[in-house]
Amino acid sequence: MSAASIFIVDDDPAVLEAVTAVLAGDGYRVTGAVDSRSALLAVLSDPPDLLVLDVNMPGLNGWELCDIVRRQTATREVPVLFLTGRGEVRDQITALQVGGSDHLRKPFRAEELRGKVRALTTGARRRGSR
Amino acid sequence: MNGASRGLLSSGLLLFAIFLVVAAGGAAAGDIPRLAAVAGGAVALRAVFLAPGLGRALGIFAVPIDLGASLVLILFALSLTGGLGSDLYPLLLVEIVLARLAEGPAAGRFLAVVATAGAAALAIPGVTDGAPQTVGTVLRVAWPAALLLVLEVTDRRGAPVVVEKPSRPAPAPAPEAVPREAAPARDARQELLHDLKSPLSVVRVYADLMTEGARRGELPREEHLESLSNEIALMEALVGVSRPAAPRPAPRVAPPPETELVNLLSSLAASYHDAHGEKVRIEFVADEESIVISADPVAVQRALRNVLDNAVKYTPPGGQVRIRASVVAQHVFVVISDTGIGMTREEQKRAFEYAWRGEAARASGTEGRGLGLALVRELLEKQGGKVSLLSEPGHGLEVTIMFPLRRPGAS
Repeated sequence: MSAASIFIVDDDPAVLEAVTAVLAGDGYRVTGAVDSRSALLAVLSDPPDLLVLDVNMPGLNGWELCDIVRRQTATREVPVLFLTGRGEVRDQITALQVGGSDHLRKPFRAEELRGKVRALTTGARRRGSR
Repeated sequence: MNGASRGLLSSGLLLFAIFLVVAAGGAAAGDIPRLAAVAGGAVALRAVFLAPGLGRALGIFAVPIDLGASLVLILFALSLTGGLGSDLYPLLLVEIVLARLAEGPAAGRFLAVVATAGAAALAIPGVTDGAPQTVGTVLRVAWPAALLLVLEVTDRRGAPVVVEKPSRPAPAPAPEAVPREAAPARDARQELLHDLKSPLSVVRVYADLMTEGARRGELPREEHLESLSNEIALMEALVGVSRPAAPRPAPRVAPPPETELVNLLSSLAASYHDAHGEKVRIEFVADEESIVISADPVAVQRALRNVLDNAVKYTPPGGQVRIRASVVAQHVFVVISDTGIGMTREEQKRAFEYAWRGEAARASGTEGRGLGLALVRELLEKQGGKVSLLSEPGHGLEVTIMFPLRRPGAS
């Protein structure tokens, strides 16, 4: 089985690099973008096995991006993991309303990231293989 | 409601309605096989769109194709059962509402416009046998557009907004973008804590990676150390900014940073020669003895290293990497050219996107995350520089970096 593909969107290049370093090191095929509009085009043209989204981004924020992705046939099944510095319950509810699968609060550790990604990518593959 | 449910409901309603019309004798005997064909088409359409893979293959066209095909089936069924006077007519309106609920306002508008056009076509004599040309016909043609109008007006009068815009990370969240009850006014300390979360994540992640590496007996990677250092510097800057202003004798203004490029490039060329001299020839030429620019030397060095890393990485053994620094008018040019795999014009357009790698780069089997050139541009633009590419596939890549000149001693 080929490695799961993960697309990361974070407007902070340092976070993008750090998350890429962890996941690429674990053998995932990782791509990403620092702005949500180019991310949207990339994700729609080549849907990944998992989408990792920062919430606070200029232009389309992570929630809006997820909402759009959920409305497209090509990407509606793609699990979405939100990276967020916002921990309020209301924010978590919004994340679920727009179709988020899980969230990871900043600051996070490499092992937390791996755990969430592993759960979401294996779940997606199981759904996809049915 | 999601798209799959919409599709199932739409097809199910069409099948059920056709069954009722036929059972009630609302269709001519000669049209029953055609209605059966419409029902079969609805089943086939749903089977095709529920099958995994097709949605992905059609991409952003999947929803319009699905909606359009569903509508055509309904219009065809209408034309066989009395046109605009058909008992199946409400299906047309239900389809618009379902599309809007499941796929969003744009889908609803698309379907309403197509449905209005379809209804108008059904009103043309000859399209439907015995279509009555009455006021009722006109109303039935106009209904989809009227429904669209009602839905749009209802939406603008305060239908719940699903997506709320969060605050921006820096410098401070726009207060009007955050619902008041969701984000009470935060004090400076809370803002600072929020802004620290991203760099803190980066530091923790790299610390974890280095710890894991150390357990395997590996030395820390230089780029990880550099990222750690940068993030710590960012956090220090954030903490420094947030400190209450203590009375000071006089504000200390830091001198603008400056970089002497000839020395920097010379030492970089020497270190790359030491590391990669056996594989590629590294050549450095400077037109001036000293070239000074107003830029942070750490950022400039990081950008240059990224360009040189790429040049060395994508140049086959026996090739050459050439670094040339020159001054033209009031501008400094650093041109780093190689004899590597090069890029197509299309690839050059995308080369500055994060995490994008060219076809040749991927085919070359070299490792890389595609972050290099995007970072280079970001680093350089923050320092007042610009970067551009010139290349032909198979004939190497020329990266030109331009800075405004600053003469030594200039303020």
